[in-house]
Amino acid sequence: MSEVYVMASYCDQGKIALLLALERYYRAQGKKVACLQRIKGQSDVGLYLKEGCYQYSLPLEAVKSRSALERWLPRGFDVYIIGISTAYSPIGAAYLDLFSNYNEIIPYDWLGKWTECVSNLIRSYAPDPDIITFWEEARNRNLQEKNVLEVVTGVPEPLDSPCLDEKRVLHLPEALVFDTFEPRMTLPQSNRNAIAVGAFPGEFWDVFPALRWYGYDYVRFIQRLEEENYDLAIIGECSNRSLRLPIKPKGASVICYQPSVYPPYNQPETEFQSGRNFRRVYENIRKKPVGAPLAGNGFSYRNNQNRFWLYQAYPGADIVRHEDSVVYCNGWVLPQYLMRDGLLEV
Amino acid sequence: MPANFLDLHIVDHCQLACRHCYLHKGNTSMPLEMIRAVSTDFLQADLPLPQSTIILSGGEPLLHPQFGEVCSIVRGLNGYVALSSNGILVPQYIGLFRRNDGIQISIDGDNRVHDFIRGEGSYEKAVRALRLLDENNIRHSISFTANKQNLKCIDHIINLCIETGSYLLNFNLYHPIHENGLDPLSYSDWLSERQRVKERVEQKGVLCPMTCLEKGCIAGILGLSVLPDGTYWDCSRNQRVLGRFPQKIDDVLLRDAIGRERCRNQFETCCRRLKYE
Repeated sequence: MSEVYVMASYCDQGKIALLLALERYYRAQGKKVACLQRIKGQSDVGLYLKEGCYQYSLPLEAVKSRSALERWLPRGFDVYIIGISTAYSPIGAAYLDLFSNYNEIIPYDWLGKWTECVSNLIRSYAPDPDIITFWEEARNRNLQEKNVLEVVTGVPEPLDSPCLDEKRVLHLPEALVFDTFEPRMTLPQSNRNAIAVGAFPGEFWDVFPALRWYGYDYVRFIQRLEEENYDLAIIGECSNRSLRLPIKPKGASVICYQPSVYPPYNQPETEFQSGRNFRRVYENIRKKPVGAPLAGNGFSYRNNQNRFWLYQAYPGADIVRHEDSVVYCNGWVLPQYLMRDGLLEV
Repeated sequence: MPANFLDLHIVDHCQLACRHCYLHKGNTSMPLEMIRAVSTDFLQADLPLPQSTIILSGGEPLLHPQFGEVCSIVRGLNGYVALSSNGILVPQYIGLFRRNDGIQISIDGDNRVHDFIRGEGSYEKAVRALRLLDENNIRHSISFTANKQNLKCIDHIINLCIETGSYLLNFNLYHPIHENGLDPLSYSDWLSERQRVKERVEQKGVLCPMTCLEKGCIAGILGLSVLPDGTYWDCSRNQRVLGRFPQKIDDVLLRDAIGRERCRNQFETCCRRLKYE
């Protein structure tokens, strides 16, 4: 059994800084650490890759049960750290159901006024009181039924409980709470020659140990691709939606996580649509087969309405599209899914 | 032998984007309960012929997330599994198939033409599937949809049938649906080519059965197609909506035609788009 730490929070409250500090803490002790995220914004993943962390994703199908989660935890690590964003949304709450002990991250200036702060943030983009109600109910239920440890970020002085100070120093990490699980995921290994750029699922490192990553230097990536021979090229995400690549690589299979690099893909306007039944989404995630409708049309989770329940960057386009030698991933399509579909050979 | 048919589109998605595909892609997989219920209903329906077949199609049927369970259901109800596939995932599922199943792989030309129609790298995977099915003694066949661009490849297809031990070649005619870089053959050109193909392959022991184009349209008479969301079509090319699950299949079939023991006029259904000369 392995220790699994869960860090839950709203977005942008210091979770990744805390997670990376905890990763460094255990790595310094000689332990092998896996960092996992629930699939969400994806851009964060580049931070883990830059830090040289082992990074993995937990798709929604992992929340079905404890054993389902274990099938998505990679074997061979001493410590597992899972970050759960938007912790009490219908999706975030479904993840948290799997754990008996978790750490809740609260910024220093939110202390004592969590509900007010979260309400203000949510209200700024979704004027629907049902959302706040769902968040409050989910949180209150967990506070009653589970062992939830408050971890404060951005503290000016250390507290007498786990916290991250303004200089990103982690205090009392040994007091963080964790669950234990039996990780079962193994990935095949390939000796194919792979090259990558941008943010991409870290699982590819396991599958292609010889993979060369060029950070976010797309120009150097293209040069290398033209000058050297590769079997596989992974074009990862970056925040520049205007980026265009001049050519499609020849001679290499391509997995592309930023379809906009090859026109005519255009980034659509995203608009939050209010839902009418958050509980139904939450229940469907837990009980329905992956890919089943999460809610009615027009619901804000329509971007997750595809056969993998992954967030789609381009609503209306296929979640995976194979054209010429390029496999376009309209979302964080994990290599496990690409292998399952026969689109990635190892 | 002719049979009543249930064409189950168990998914509406596929790894490929073939130029001549006439289905709209989506993200839906048919639930197992629906597969079981609609198959049972079909086998209990009052249909014209003594034999019935359930065909798993899509999209790409092997992408169904519970494909193993789908096979168990269909095999339990009808004794064998018949499906139409692009072949990509056949290596993953080879252990599920049995000798008396019927796995049809679509091949639309030689390497270059097939990849032009179906996407780069797809030919190699389709042929790999045929060889693997042959090695494992699983009954398999080839489906070829003829158009002006790939007709020159027909000898290649015939040789492939023989080389890979395919028991049957389905020689279909491409129906123009939308602009896609493919040109249709005329009906009469296709018919004469079909005759030539039939003679050649049958000398080698490969069947080349007649199609609804020649025998008359049986859409909604001998069976129907069911989409993953439960919509009933008379057939997947004509796409006339007959009803929706859980309506009884008996209640939606074209009973007038069955009563008169008549086919529908194929030139009033999907074949109306064809040129005849």
